[in-house]
Amino acid sequence: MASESLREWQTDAWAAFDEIEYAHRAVGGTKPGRRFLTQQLNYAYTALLAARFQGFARSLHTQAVNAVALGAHNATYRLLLQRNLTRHRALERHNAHPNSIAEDFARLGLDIWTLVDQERSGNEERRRKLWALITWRNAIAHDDINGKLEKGALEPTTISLGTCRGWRSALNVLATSLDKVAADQCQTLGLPRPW
Amino acid sequence: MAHAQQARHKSLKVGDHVVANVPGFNWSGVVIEDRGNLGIDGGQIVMIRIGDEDDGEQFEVRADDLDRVAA
Repeated sequence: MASESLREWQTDAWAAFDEIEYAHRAVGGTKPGRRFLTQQLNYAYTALLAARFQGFARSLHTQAVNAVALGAHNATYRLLLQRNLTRHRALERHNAHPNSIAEDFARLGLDIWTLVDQERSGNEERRRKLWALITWRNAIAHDDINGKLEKGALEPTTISLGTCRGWRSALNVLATSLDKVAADQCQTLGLPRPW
Repeated sequence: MAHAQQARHKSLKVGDHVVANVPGFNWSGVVIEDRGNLGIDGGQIVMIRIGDEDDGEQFEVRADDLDRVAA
């Protein structure tokens, strides 16, 4: 079973990503200008991946908090937990880079990346891909690609459709692992498994 | 509080003015985001803001724990 957040990621977000893939195919061909057109699509794909993953992570945190709050012995305690576990979240103010996710899930007692890395082999590398995606997203959103490239901050140095697909694949696995680790933590806290 | 309470458990919308219907809380706020039915039991979750638009506190609450009130 999966959380509603993961289901939305695997349906709504995937459908949005597929639209970009479709647009890529529609732009196809070898005419001059295609490279520029597909480059903009790749930038759009990058921004969309980052945005939807932030939405997923924030919703997963919401659901995990709700599961914890429902374990309270009365309504006042429940609301107190709900309020204090969701106020000033990093994921409201920042992209879903690993530090934001770690900061918010730490409120639930989770050392999330240690557990996610343990959950599936290769997740450490996928987390590095998340960092690369977010760095690229910021460069695109702030019109700072050249500046970031000059500082050597962008890896890879160009984005292709294959790059975006690689990021998408990495996020899919990370989303599944985050979903499982959050559910595990609810059980660790003595609560019913929420999903 | 001076607010006139309305029916509970109705779906809340962005812009609704709300108060907590749980003992121990006497704040009033405004719904600033409908997070959908993300509750583990399928219940609606909303983001509310208490206080000023710039300096207010924002957090998520189960809609069941809120009552809509007149603005």
